[in-house]
Amino acid sequence: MKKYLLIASLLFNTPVSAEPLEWPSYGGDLGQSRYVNDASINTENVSHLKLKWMFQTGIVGSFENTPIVKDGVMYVTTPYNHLYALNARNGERLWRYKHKLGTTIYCCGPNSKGAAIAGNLVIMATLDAMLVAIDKDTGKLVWETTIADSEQGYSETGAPIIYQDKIIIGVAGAEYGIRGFISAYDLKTGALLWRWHTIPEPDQVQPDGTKGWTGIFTEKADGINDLHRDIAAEKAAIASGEFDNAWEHGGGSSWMPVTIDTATGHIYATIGNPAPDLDGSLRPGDNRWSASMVSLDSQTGKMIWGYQYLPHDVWDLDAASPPILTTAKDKQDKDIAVAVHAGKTGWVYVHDRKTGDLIRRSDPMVEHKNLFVKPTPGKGTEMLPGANGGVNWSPGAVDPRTHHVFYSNLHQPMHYEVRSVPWRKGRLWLGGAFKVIPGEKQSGNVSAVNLDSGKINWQYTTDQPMIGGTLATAGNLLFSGESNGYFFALDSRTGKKLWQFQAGAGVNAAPMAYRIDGKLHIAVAAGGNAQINAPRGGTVAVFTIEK
Amino acid sequence: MKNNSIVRNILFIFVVSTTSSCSSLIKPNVFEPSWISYNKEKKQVNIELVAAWNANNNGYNFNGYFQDDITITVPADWLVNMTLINLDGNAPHSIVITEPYTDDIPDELTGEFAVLHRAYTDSIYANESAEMKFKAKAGDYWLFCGVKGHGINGMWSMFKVDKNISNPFVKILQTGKQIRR
Repeated sequence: MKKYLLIASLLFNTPVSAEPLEWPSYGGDLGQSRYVNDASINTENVSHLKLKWMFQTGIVGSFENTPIVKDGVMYVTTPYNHLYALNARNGERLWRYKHKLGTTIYCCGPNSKGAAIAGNLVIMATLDAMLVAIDKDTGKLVWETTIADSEQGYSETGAPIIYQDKIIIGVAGAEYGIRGFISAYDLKTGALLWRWHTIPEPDQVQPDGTKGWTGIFTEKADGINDLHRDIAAEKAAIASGEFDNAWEHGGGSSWMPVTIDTATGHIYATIGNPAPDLDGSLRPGDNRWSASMVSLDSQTGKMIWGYQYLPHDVWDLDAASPPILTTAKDKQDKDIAVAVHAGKTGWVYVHDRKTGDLIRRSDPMVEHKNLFVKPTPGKGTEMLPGANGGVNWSPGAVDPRTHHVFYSNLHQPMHYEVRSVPWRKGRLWLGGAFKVIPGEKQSGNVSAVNLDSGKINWQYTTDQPMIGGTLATAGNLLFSGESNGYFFALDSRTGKKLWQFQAGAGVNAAPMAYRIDGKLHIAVAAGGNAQINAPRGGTVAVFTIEK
Repeated sequence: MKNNSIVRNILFIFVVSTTSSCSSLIKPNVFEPSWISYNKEKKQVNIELVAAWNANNNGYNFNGYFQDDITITVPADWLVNMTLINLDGNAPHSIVITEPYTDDIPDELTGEFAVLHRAYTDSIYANESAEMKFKAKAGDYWLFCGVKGHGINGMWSMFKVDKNISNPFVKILQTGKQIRR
C-alpha cells in the first residue's frame, strides 16, 4: 500500500494521508460534495480494487442507504428502519436497533437513506414520521419524538443532518396532500426548535415581498421555457375563493437531506412537487415553494431566498436531488460560492449561494419530449422525462478541482393523463397517472457536467434507468452502480469504465468512502430499488486495495 | 413477461373478442367486454385486466374500473384464466381474490390471503404481466390489488361466481367514467 500511496502522491499531486478519513454524514460533508480527497485508489491501480467484506442485512425492500462511518464504526439503515452498527474494518455486527413502526403511508418504497451521528447519538428518521436517537455504543434507544401524523401520509425516508446542536430534516408525503416543512430538533432531547413550512400561509410575506403561495404567475421556467399556463384562468380561480384553502394540502415535501454551509450557517434544501402532483386545476398560482431550491437560516428557520424551478408544476418534474455546495465561475468568469442542483428536468442548475440567482443551466442530460406541454383532455400526452425524471433523488458528486459534477439519470418515456379527484386524508392524491409506453426502450446515463460552462463533458450510458448516485475521488475516479447489480468505477475525466463488480442485486444507492488503517475503502449498498424494480437484496459491500 | 408478451396478449384478446365473445350488449349496463373471452364447452374464461389502464383513481384501476364501478360475473365451476398487465409508470400492482371487505380494508395483502386456491398474482412492475388460473367456486369476491396502500385507495373490483348463469358478463354500476369496454 505504501508503494501506491507514493505513486498516487506523485501522479495526482494530492495529499495522501494515513490518517483516518470519516464519512459522518449522508453526503460525506455537510456541503454534500461526495468527493474524497484521497488518490490512493486511482485510475492507475483501480483494477486491483477487491471486495474486502460484505454484510447481509437480511432486510429486503428498497435499499437506498449511504452508510456513515465514524470512529471505526459503520452505521447502516435499511428498509423498514433497522439500524446496524458494524465494525468498519471487517463488517462484524456490533448491534442492531429495530424501530417499532406504527402506521406507514409512503409512495415509493420502504426507504431509509441513512443516519446521522454526533456525540454518543446516532439519529434515524422513520417511515412513520418519527426521529429516534440511539446510543452509539449500545444500540439502545435514548429518545424518540414524533415529527408529524403518519396517518395523514407524512413519512420520513431521508437522512437527518446534524449541524452544531441541531438535527435538521424535512418530510415526505406530497403524494398524499401533506403540507411540507423543514424542522430543527434539539440533539440532546429531540425537542422541536423551529419549523419552516414549504407552503406558506396566505398572509405570510415572502423574501420578495409577495404573500402566500400564489407567487408572481411566472410564465417561463428559468425565463426560457414556456410553461403553457392559462394565467387568466388561474387568477379567476383564485378570485372565486374556491381554492382559498388549497395551500393546507399543497404538498412540497423536502424528502432528501438538507445541505449546510458551515461558514454561514445557511441551509440549502430542495423542495418537491405540489399536491396533487398532476392536477393544477385545484391549486391555481405558482404553488410556492414547491419544485424549488430554498435557503434558510439554520438558527431560526427564517427563509433567506427561494428559486422556483417550475412554478405551478403539473408534470412532477420537481426538485429532489440534494444541493451540492462548491465553487464555480460566475457570469463574469470569477470563482464564487455556488449551490448546485440537478432536477428531474434533466438540467443542472448553478446558483449564487448568497442570492439564489441562477448563474447558468446546463445542457440537458436526458432527452426532452413535449417538455412542459399540457396533456390533451381525456387522452393525455407522451412526455420525456417520465415520472422519475431526469435526475430523481440520486445525489450527485463534485470534483472541486475541475468544477465538474456527476449525476445519474433516467430515460423513461411515459404517457401522462390528468383526472381530477378530491383530497382525502391519507389517500394517494396524484390527480392523474403516468403510464409506461409498451415497446419504448428505457435507459440511463451518468453525465459529467462542467459547472463553469454548463456543457456536458461526457456521458456513460446504461441499458437501464439509473437511480442511486455517485462518488468522486481525487484519484480521478467516479463510482456509481446499476440496477443490473454492477458497481463500477469510471475515469472521471473521460467516462471510460475502468473497473466493475457484480454485487448480485441492484446497486441503487450512493457510494461512500472512508479510510481506516491507512487504506481507503469504498462502500456501497446493493439491495435494489422499488421505484424502478431493480432486483432486491440487502448487501453492504466494501472494497479496498490490500497490497 | 415484457413488451412482446403484452402485445401478444392484447392481440390475442382482440382476435378472440372479435370472433368468439362478440362484445354484444345485453343491456345498456350489462355487457360482454372485449377483455373477456370464453369457451362454453370447455367452461373456460379468459379475463385480461390492465392496471393503470387510464388515469382514473390516480391510475389505481383495472381497465379503468375501481371500487364498485363494476361487477365481473363468471359461471361457477369454470376455469378462470386471469391476466394482469401493468402499465403504471409509478407503482407495482397485483391481484388477490379476496372476500368482500365491509369494514376495514387491508393495507396490504399477499397471495396467502387468496380465498380461492392459487387465485393471486405476485406484484408486477411496469411493462410486466402475470397470469393466474383458478377454479371458480360460487360466491362473492373482490379482485384486490395487494400492494401496500392500493386496496384502501380503491384498487379493487367486485367479482362474482354464480351457479345460475351460462355466460360471463360485466355489469356497470357506476356510469360516466372513461373505461375499457
